[in-house]
Amino acid sequence: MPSDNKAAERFSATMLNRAFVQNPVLVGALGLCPIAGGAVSLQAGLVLSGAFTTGMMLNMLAAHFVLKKLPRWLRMPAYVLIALAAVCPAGYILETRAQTLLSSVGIYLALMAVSSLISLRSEKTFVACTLKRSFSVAAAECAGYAAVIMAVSFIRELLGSGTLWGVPLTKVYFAPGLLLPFGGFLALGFLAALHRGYIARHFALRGALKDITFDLSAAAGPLITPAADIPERKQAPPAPAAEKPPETPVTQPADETDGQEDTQASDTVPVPGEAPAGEINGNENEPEDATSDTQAQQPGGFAVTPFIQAADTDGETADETPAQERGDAALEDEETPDEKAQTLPADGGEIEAFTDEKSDEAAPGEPEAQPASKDREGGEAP
Amino acid sequence: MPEPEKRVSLAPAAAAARRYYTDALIMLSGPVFMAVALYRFEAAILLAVSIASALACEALGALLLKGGQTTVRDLSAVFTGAAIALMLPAGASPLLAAAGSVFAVCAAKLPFGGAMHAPFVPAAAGMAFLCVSWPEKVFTYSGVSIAAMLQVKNSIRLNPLNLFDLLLGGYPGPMGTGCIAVLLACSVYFLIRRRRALWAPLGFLMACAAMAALFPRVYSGSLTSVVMELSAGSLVFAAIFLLPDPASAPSGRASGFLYGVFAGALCMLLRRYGTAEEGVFFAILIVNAFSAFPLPKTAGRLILRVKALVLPGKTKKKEGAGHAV
Repeated sequence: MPSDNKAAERFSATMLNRAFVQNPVLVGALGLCPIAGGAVSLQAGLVLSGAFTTGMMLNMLAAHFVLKKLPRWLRMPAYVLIALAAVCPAGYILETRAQTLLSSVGIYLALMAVSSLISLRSEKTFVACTLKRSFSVAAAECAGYAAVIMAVSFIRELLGSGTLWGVPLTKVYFAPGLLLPFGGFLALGFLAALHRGYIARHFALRGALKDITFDLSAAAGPLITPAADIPERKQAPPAPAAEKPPETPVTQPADETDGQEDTQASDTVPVPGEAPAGEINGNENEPEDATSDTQAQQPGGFAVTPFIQAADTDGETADETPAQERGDAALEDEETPDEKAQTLPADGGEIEAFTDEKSDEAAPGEPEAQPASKDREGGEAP
Repeated sequence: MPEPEKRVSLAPAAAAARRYYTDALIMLSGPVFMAVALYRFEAAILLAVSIASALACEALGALLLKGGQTTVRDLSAVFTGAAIALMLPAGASPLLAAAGSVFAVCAAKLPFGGAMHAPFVPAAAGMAFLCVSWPEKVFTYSGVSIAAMLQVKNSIRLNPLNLFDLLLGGYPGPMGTGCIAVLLACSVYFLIRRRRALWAPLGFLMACAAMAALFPRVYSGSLTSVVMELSAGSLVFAAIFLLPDPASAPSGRASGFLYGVFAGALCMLLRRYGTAEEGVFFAILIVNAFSAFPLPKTAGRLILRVKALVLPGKTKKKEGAGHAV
């Protein structure tokens, strides 16, 4: 059935997008604490990811069927209580059967109940979306989170303890320091860098990495806009949505078009500079059909920019439209972290501290040089 | 007609880095000579392995990350490897030095774009990693070190013979940091070539001496405490070679001095209350995180505000001058 194929495609696209391309940990920097502190072995990683998955799924069901009828101020603590329903049994089982594992996981198992990712996703997606959509998002987020936990656990157990799943590998020279939280942050940082490099090479990202100045044009052709063009790009008039063929809503089943706000954004793929209307964290991530303009231009990759662009431009439009009318679009800003400018310094210009003494010395009457925020940001000549 | 051979020259910033690290390596030759003279083959092996590991990681990382553009020629990897080796005991395993160098280059330098842009001193990061991972190997010497004496509140009498041994590295300790006289002599080179770089070490040593005098860990008096604290571990070495790292240390005089004072106070606190017998590496890493803040301007504004509260009459004239700045 075409609708089944379409649904399967959307599910797989959601899984790929949310679990990998926009991984909540490596891209969104959410839920870092349990990974950095508790993921010290594969067994601990499995426990943490299991607790997270159970808490997320319970929250998904509760948010969709029950909690969306409650006021928001009541929903937030409810998410924590529901997640506790998953964490407490896990803690009890570990306490009775695997005391050492519980001690290695420590407080980070309990911290899963207050995971920002569970609360954020429940409030932004599960409350407003259909059950099918909520399930696909929850499954994708859990898969992405678990993948990162297991990867970090693998690295830290192998290099920090010299074991794998408790089996010692005597030929590995291990560094116990990596079992400390700084080792977790190091592993996360390297994973995030590898992930970002892979995404930049294989996926077209317009506007997502706007603050990065390294040239992506070789990977993605003319779609990559240099950082210098960002103001012009944002001021560009939005392309009329009517020009794009609205293929998706024609084939959507009835249960997905029952007035949910997240379906609106799936009709259009915003061009650079355009603020998508009424998007909710969801469908705009998914790749449209190949006949859409953006995908036709791309070298075969998925169009992930709509979500990311929405996150970038949402801050500008959030003030204009009340948050409630736009669903959860105002919350979009909270999810996407600010990517600080990480510009590599230009090779031109000399760092002040490196200059020779005789060219450095100021006249006795000269005022003190300004304490520049250092060359770290630019390496540019003062 | 054949094309003229293109000579690849360093970019200005890289050339400036090379000049700095050349000066630093010239200064480092003194401790290297003393280490090899005292410990001979062991010291040479440790230095060679550490420097080779750092160079290999730098070359490989530059190849992978920068598309073939190498930053090996700025000599920062050589400096990092040599500094790490000199801060280890002579009997340490070469694998330990290699691990420290690999961590310093791969975790504290390459991800940030090289030595010119690393917010944390790579050698300090490498030593901190070794201290956390293998403290029993980093702080094990052939005898009782000065730092160990301080930890157990033991003390020695400062007679001329012991003081002489202290200044020339006669007590067990890291192989390149014990000879205080050589280190101070090497700093004269910095005084001639890069005077501004010495403000941070000056503030650091003054703060350490003040803390040692005011809060001694031994019962033989302030002078003994100051001499022991300054000659223990890698304090002077780190003050001269690690603290004025150009990528992380402030370049101004007042800001550099305050930066050094902050680092010195932290170092003494970590020595007193920390678990490791040497806290200078962690102190340097912590102050590296604060080095981007404009310390003198912030301190100046704070002083003006306090004055406004305490002396409202005088503040009017001063405020204008302060704001004009």
